[in-house]
Amino acid sequence: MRPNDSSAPLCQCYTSYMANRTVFRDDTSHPAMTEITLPDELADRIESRVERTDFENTNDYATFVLSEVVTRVERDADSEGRESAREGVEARLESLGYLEE
Amino acid sequence: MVTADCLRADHCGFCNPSSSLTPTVDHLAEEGLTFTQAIAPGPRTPSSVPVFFTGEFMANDENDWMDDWQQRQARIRRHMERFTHLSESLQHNGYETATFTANPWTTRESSFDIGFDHFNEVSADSPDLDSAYLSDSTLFTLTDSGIKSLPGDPGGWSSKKEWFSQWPGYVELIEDRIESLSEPFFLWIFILDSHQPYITPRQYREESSAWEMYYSILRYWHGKVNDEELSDRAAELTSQAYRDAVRSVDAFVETLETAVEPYDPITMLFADHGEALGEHGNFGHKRTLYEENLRVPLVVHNADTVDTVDEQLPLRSLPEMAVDLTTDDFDPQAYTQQAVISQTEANRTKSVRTPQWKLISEGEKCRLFNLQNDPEETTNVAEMNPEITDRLVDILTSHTATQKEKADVGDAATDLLAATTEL
Repeated sequence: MRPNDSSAPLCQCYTSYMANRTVFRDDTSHPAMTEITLPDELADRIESRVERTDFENTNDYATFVLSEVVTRVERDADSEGRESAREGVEARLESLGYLEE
Repeated sequence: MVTADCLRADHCGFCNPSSSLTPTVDHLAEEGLTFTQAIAPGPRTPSSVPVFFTGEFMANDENDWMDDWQQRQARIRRHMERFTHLSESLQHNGYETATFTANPWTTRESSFDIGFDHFNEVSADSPDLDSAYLSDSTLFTLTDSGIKSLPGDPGGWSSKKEWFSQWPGYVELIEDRIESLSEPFFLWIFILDSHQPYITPRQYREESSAWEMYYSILRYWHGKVNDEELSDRAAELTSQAYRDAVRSVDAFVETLETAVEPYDPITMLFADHGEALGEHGNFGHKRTLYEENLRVPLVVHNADTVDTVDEQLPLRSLPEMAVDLTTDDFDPQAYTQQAVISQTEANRTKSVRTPQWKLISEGEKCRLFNLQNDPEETTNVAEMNPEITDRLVDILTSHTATQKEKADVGDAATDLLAATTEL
């Protein structure tokens, strides 16, 4: 998959033409997956981090990172106005026993 | 998708054949798919719902801010803004999405509206509906009309309108919304009817008189405020009031099934967490990780699968499972796990549960229970089973490392966004 490949919907930020490793593999058990590739060096670094955690493999780790970043970028444009808290919420929480610890 | 706050698994007939409180739910279970060992990610709404709605545990936070409700709400908001919501995934797949949610931790301020085309907060001060819809009870109508000094108002009913959150008050709004939705649609209804205090409409009460029901509430709150144990009589009245509340939940499911019948939908029913009724000296849902707090009912109806899954299912798998239900890739066994982790709000107490064992860890202190021999979790057998204890501790240690890694990724994303904004 090349950077300008229009069939790459998930991540086109960086791919290498050489020494790439498949991260997402088309698989009959995961038909909604899309294949992208990463440089071996980056994949190795991810693998070393995976070993310290419950992530099952490089795919899961990369999916987590990309999902969080993309979600945060999407959220960033729509996050205004959520900081305020209505006073009524406190009364609701109190009446349901959530504030009496 | 229906979430019944505080609905215990053992009060549903399909999980406990000696219970006859939920005939409608049991009928759905008989025709559908049931999980008899569904485990909540936390024992209370703030430690459970953000997790099962995103599939991710909340970040560790060692700061002691549990006394400040706004910081607790902000923590939920940060979590909900980090991760993709179940509603978003379905919206992305072409579903029109709507919710009616009555729990005050699941509001716009905590960013639960993300991914919903129609967001309806059910509360006395809701911007979405008139408070008159909260309940159709006479007492609520009186309090809602502004009468502050009701005769016999020792509990201060007028300041506790949320106590009366009852589905019959707003069910017509749900029915109207269903009629307005375009298929395919995703509807999430989060009801409080089985949340304490257990105030149940007369038509669904089979055990408690109105006097007994309100008396049990006053005794419960009196005991809570004064740190007094409930008498046996008060405890029984509380338990019977809870059973009536469960009957009301079942009646809601029956009403909803009728309303959605023309659309032939898949129905998912579960609880966000359980409820203590005297076990371990507790009532309600405190920050404890015992079976009464964590084990929840889960039914999937009309998914072309009739089965009973007895393997452990973490409720945290819900987003993945719900999305798969809309495709041809649904495999009931795919979401089960041999070791299921739960944790309290702020992650101070954690547990890992296997079919036979549960380890509860709080700081340096670990307790191990044999769920097969001691299902009520009364005897700590950690010292007698050091190898099992060590193995389960290792699982929690790995989980903690994973959460730390995810938090680091989150921090990096925050820095990246900040740098991008500055550019």
